[in-house]
Amino acid sequence: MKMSRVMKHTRWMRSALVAGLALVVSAAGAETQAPAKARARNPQIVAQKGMVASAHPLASQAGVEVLKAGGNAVDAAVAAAFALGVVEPNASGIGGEGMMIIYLARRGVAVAIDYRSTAPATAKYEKAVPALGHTSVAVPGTVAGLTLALEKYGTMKLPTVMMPAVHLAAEGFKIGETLGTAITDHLVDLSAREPAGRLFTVGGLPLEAGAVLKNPDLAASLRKISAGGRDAFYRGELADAIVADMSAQGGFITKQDLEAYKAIERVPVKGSYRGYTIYSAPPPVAGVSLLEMLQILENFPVAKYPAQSATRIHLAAEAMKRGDADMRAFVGDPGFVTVPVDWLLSKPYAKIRASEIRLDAISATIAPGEPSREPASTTSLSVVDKDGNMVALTQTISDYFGSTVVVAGTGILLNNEMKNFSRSGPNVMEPGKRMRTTIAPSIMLTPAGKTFATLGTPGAARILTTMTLLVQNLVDYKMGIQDAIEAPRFFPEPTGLAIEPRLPEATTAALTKMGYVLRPLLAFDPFFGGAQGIVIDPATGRRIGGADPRRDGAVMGY
Amino acid sequence: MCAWRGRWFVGGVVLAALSAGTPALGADVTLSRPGLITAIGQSADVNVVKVLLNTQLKLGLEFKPLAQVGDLAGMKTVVMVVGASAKGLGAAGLDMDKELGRTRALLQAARAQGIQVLVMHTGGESRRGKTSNDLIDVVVPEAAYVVVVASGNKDKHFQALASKRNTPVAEVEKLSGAGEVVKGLFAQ
Repeated sequence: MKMSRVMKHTRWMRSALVAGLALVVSAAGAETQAPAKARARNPQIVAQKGMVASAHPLASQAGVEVLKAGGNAVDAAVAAAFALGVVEPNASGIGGEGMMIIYLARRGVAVAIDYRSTAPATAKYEKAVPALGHTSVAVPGTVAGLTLALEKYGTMKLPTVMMPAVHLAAEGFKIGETLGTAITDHLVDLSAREPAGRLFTVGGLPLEAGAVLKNPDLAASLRKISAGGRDAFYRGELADAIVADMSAQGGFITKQDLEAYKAIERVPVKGSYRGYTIYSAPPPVAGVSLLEMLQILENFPVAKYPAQSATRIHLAAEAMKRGDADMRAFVGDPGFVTVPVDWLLSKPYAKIRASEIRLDAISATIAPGEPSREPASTTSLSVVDKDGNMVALTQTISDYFGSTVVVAGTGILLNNEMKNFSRSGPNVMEPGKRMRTTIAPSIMLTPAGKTFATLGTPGAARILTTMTLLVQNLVDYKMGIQDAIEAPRFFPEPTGLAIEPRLPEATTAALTKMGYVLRPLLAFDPFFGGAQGIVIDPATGRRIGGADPRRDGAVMGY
Repeated sequence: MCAWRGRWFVGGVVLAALSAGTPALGADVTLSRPGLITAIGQSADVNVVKVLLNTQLKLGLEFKPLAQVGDLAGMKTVVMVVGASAKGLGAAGLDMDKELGRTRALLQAARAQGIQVLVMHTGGESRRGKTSNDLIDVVVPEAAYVVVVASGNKDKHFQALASKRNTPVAEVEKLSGAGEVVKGLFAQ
């Protein structure tokens, strides 16, 4: 078959090189959005047919090869997602979970695939949930979610879309500075737990940028899934290996937990911002809060204030704090709690929240939600195919390197999601429950109902604030997608704002005068996430992609 | 060969040696033990240096990421691993002001007690934000020797700072190279 020839090892590698060169050439293509005022660090990529934007060039490449071979956006997203789990092991993988939003252009329908992890039935903690180790692990959902999406909305077979991931795990890949720094930052934890230490260190030193990371055990695990489907993970040899590891080390996951796990197809939450329809990820994740933040801001003439002005930043910060407070108070697993989605997304409610905001003062207090620890490491990808179908996908293993538990003989790095439950409220732990998180992959339509953008970002609590800024940058400030992604970001903190120090001095002075305590981080700080996005130019249909220099983001198209 | 061409030739050799990242010709620094490793900025790079110097080179240096002035008593060398981490500072209960204060106190004590300072920067470009740079600007001028991994020194800032006192700077491509340099510095 044509596809099997395309996906053979040597031809795939040659295609990767050619496509990489094409990527460089296409970067010189004309932009349809307003030009950047300062030089962007990543080029804005333009293509005619299909495009993939993800946190790693090899994952984007895997997705684009699938599109070029005739696959649709879902086929490409699944291929890229499996590949990301190999090349960005700190941020996602088959030991983790996620959420996918799909927009089917011809039918005008949006669906969500919820593959959040779940609490094992016997999980019990006398003290706080540990951050690492076997008892920190929730039942993974990635394999169930990606296979469900492919079965229902893809056109290709699992072995085909998984082939790049298998190849990358078996043959290895050169790690970049982002992963190298992540390994250094977690050296002590990784070294303390084999086989994770053997995987990420050499002679006790962290693998550095430029070193080749191979994971042959993971390649073998991926081959098993490729051949046997989701049952190979949840019922077969891999399930046995996970359970044996858990049993030996005091973890909670049992065979019954794995067999009972299901990914769930849900209706995305839907809102609008200045006429643009936005579909986002439903509870137990935070799309509802993203929409609330934007709908609060819709009550202000945001475009009247320059994008990097103190007023824009202050308004956004006030809206973000309210959306966050409501998320903590009301959002949980809808299988266990009632989430007042309609009320949270209603325009009258947004108007009430907006009326609380003063232009000249920081709110002293905002109704507090319950503090909960949000995932610190995650990844996101966006896909558009030649028919205009879109996918926005965000997946994670919670913290960088998750629990640091690599199941012996499988290469599978397990999540540490259990700590993301709360002590009380709608997100309290219950057997089988999905924990809340802030991920919010989203798809936007123009006021005329045409597909416009697919967006997503990792970044823990900064996911919602970064997504809010991205939407505003596109809609209010008419930025190109790359400029929108690279624009300076900020995040409200109890004492003020964490900022990227590229803001104008006049802005930082005005914010300080208002009473904000500013905490400058790196100029392009991964603290604020690693957003990827693709926009379809309504006039020309061209696909325009942006990737975040805060991580190793890459856009590829054809 | 004409005399002036000979001088240009020798000068070219010197320039080539300097640009290759080796210390200035004639630099002769020897470090002694006992010594101590500390973090300046509280990044995880200090754990990497501990593996390099103690696990691999078996130098047996004390490891105190939060070393205070009193910990320098009896030391002959202090290894300062510079790189800022908001997470590390937060976990240590420090902010930048406190960390700068601790750093300056250590440097003052080292100077007073004749303790040599080895500055190491192994964290690459991600450890060259403003907070890291503020710390680098404080420690390098007080160093007897500087070792830096090249990816964190694309702007040659370390050489620029070190040149004021002719402090040798060894720029290496990989962590293993840093280990080799330090091995050569410590007296047997």
